[in-house]
Amino acid sequence: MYVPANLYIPDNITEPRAAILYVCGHSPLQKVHYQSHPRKFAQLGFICLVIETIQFGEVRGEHWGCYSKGWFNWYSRGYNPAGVELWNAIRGIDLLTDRPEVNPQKLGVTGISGGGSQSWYIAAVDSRIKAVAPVCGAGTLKSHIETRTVDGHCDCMMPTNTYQQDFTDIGALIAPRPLLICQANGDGMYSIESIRDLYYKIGNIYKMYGASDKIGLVETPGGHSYHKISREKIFSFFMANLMDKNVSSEEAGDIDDTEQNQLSEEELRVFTDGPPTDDRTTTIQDSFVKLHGMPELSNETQLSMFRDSVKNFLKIKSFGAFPEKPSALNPVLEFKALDGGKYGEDIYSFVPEDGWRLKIDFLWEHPKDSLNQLVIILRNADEGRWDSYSFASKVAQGENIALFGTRGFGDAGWSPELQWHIRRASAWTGRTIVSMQVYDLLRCIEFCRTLPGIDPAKISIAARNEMGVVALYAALLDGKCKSVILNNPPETQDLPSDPDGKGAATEILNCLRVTDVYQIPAMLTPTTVTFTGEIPDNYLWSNDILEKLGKTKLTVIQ
Amino acid sequence: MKKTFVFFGLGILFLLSTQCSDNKQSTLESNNIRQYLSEKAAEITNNSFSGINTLDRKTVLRIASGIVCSGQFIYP
Repeated sequence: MYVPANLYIPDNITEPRAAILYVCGHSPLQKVHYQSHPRKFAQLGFICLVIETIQFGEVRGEHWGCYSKGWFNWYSRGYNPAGVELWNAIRGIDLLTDRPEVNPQKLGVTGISGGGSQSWYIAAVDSRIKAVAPVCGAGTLKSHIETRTVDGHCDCMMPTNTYQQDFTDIGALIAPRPLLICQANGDGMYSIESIRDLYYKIGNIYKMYGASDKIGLVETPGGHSYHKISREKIFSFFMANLMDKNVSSEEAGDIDDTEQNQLSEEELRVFTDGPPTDDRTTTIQDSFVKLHGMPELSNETQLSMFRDSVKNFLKIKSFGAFPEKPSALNPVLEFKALDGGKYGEDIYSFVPEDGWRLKIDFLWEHPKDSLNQLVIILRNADEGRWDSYSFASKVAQGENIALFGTRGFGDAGWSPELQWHIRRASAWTGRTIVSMQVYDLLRCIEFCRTLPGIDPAKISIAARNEMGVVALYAALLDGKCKSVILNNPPETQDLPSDPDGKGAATEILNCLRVTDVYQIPAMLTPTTVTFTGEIPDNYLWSNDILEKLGKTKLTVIQ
Repeated sequence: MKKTFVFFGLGILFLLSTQCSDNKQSTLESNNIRQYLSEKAAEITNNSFSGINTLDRKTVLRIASGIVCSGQFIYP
């Protein structure tokens, strides 16, 4: 990869100087647009390296996969463009520390908006940074979801939230190094109240260090932008903390952004003949994260070890937002009839997780005074009136039937328009629609096992289309289902969705690092997997494993 | 007459308590994804770095997160 950057060096340097890494926000033309900042730093005596993001400068990579392209498989990959930006910034610091003009003990980082977020990340992970001044780059997760400011943000403005963290945690990693948070009070991307909340909480961490004087908050009037006040405060802040010069903000002065003093795009261009042919920026999303392989599993021990490692990974990095303590199921018999199944119908509701009450419709084909098999039919959000009944008639062979809608279906559903927001907001909180549905199904199975008339060891799950992903992962985590019956399941979770985010969601945070949906059937054995219709090609990998180990292979119901 | 009044009063109380219970249930089990995610986000924000009130505890967490102070980032 190559990162377009400009290095500003003051004239007549006689000794190594403090240096600033200036990380661009998301404005077009990048280092051209922001040039007055590094120039001012150089005028104040700093070395300043200004680096471009991967999307908006001389190289046009992809920054908006989930935001506008429907590449929600980024979540399954555990990929976030912020990771690439962060790596580029670390390499920028490497470059600075290699320069003879730079004092490597005196490094700072700053930027606005996307550059503001990056300033937080860089200072948190790279302790070579001794002072940081992020501008309009962080708010609390609470405010983002409640006010839906999340909808306006690029994908890089919040890390893949595997561990359900917030910027307080990131700030804690910066402490006790000098941190100057700058924020416009009318910013449409961040509420000023949320920044005050962050400042207060991170301030408590600085207090633990006895370094309360090392953190500051500068509030400026206006929208998502710099202000003369914030700029001058930043220059003064870095002079104090990297140069040991106590200069007032007024003395430090402001940038010169008069038109006649700006260099042109051509003058600042790095790639005069275009980006290098071997530059990977435009496709880095395909290779930055190492994905799962297709392991050779030639005996039962290897299969068992593979299954355990995948399950352990998923529990921590994919389903880490599952409630630590399950809520009480609190079942309610909502409706009862003698029609429906041969022995009647019961509609129950239960609580899978606080805030939700889901319905399950039992059609009894056997009397309840004896234990019998049960097939749970997962309902699809977009299904027709009789689709689940029709599917049940194909897959059930005399068993009791239960029609179950996870959240996303029926009374627990939401409008298609909301799907894009829900997919992104869920991921920002460390979950996905599928992970929530997997949890619902696990609680559903748990509930079914409490009912008379159901053999707890003989529960099967049947699912169509995207709900096949839910069925397979739930069966893997449960480990005790009799069988999984699938119709037209996704071949892989590594495919894009509609750009507007509507329709089926199959993403699960980080899962593609260790597996993909087509590998789950091999791991389920002795739970059997059956298909109605054709077996998608990818699933033959599982079939080959099962055949090699002498297990029950994938079967087909015509 | 007095007995009737007592039963009537108890009946009213029962109805009120049932009503309150139903209201509570509908609030707690709203099946509202926006409300749910907002609550989860608030939990994360409120719990972020909560319960860590010593530097020793913070250092343990920092090491556990794979970030060390040498300027090197170790992938977990």
